[in-house]
Amino acid sequence: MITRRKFVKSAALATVAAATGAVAVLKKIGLANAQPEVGQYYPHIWDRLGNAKYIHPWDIDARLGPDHYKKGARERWAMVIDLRKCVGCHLCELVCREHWDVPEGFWRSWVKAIQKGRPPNAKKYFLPRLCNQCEDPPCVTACPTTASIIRDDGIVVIRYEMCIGCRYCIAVCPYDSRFINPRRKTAEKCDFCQPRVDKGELPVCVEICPVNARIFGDLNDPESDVSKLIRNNPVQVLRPEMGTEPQVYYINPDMDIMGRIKERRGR
Amino acid sequence: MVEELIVLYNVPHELPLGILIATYFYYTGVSAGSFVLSTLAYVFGYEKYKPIGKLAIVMAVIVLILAPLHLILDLAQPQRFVHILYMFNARSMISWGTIMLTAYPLNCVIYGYFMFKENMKMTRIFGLIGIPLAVGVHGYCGFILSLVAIRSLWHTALMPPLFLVSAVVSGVALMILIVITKQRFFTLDKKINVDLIFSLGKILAWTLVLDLFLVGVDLLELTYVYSRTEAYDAAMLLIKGPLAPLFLIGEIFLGGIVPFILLTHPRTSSSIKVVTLASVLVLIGIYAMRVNWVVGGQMTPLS
Repeated sequence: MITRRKFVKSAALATVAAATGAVAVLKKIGLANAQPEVGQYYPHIWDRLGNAKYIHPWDIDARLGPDHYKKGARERWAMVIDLRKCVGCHLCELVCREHWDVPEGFWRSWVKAIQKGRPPNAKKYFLPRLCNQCEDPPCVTACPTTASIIRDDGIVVIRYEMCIGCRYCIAVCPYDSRFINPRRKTAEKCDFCQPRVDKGELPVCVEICPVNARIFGDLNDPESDVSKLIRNNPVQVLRPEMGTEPQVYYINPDMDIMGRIKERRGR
Repeated sequence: MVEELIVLYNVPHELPLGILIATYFYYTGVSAGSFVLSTLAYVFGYEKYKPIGKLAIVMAVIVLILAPLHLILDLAQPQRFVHILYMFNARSMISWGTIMLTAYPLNCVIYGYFMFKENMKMTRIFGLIGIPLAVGVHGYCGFILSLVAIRSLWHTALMPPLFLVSAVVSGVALMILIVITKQRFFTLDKKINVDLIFSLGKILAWTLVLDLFLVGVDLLELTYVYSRTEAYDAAMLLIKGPLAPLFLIGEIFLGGIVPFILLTHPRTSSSIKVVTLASVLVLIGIYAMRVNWVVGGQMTPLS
């Protein structure tokens, strides 16, 4: 006869056995493997951080103080997009897609375009878009596994092996910069071509731009091109009211194209 | 600005959080609501609700075992969900939610164990511990939405209270259905405790009013002025846009007004069948509410 004690005992044993078996099976088919599938679509985690250290989300507020970059003696990468020069050729968008093998239907970088007025009295305006590499990024705040992290040179990177794909970072990003890569099945976004930057090269979009509308450089160096441009021109960032302090600056942007575009039909 | 403006090129973006997340919110809500009901008798000493205490805690545990499964299935990398347990980001609401989602069911099980053991003192203690946990486990769902500063429909301090009230509403509605089913089919005398059902119906009706009130306040604030704002467009999505049928008919009319009238009108409120119907309608309405708020919040494009 089965007593209650016997039943509980055997049930517990069966549970343990089943759990062990399940873990073994999952390991066999590679599902319970916490280690990443290195090198299939992306470099290893430490390669992504390069020679930079990362700043824990908890320390971001401390980092926003004036002395941080002096102490760290690091670069602060930033981009200026000079819309007086941009001709809307979409080359940055295309080269980014080619370089990073972005799946169809997703964009790390894209160029918005609008037309104001009715032809022949019409004018086109463009707005190249990419991740804004915020000083206080909502995505890093939101990420439950600290997979999204900000490097001490200001680039917001995703450590793909840690990303569980909860999509919360996509929901909180004010700039629509993020997406789930359907092949890698993690969040992905522009990261200023961070492996290239670590090697001393420019991001591909900056390199390809035929009119030099994109300028990339170090904000901590007062003599760099970005510092000079930001100092000598009225600049604007996207959604400044969010308090994210974006580090992609626009010279001469159009009001209607900067946020959500509302189409207007003229009279 | 009267000048004509057309979009020449822009790119679409996916809606990150979908039906599975809405369903998850629904389940945690039901669980938290059931738990609060079970504490009515065992912590606050309302003897009238004693018969539902054990049922409610069993429901709370079962539903809360189902709920995280939806979260895990919604991940792009479901096998990596363990990462969330040992990688902690103190600024992330989801990290705190993970703690709640672990602690709350554990506490429920302990609370239920002492309840079935008839150990009233320990039941009371763990019930008292469980109330903030239940508020936390569903309140954090509201915070997950309300802390997203960029989504106008979500970014309101009303979101956690709205979620908590709707949690109680759905918990009570499910409990009414379960009590009726149990007493009708699984007891010897097959007699329904009419008094209990009607007092649960009263709780349901008046929490439903609170729920509708919060939704109304929220929409009034979003739509009152500034018709060029994103907030206005987000609210209009619910009132005139693609979600209007689900919102106006599903959530407000069938899930709110009709059950309230059924539960309070003197000619209908004294029938078990009507209370059952009202509870079913409320459960559907609250599900519609979860879908409306989770999906609708993301439908106004950002760029």
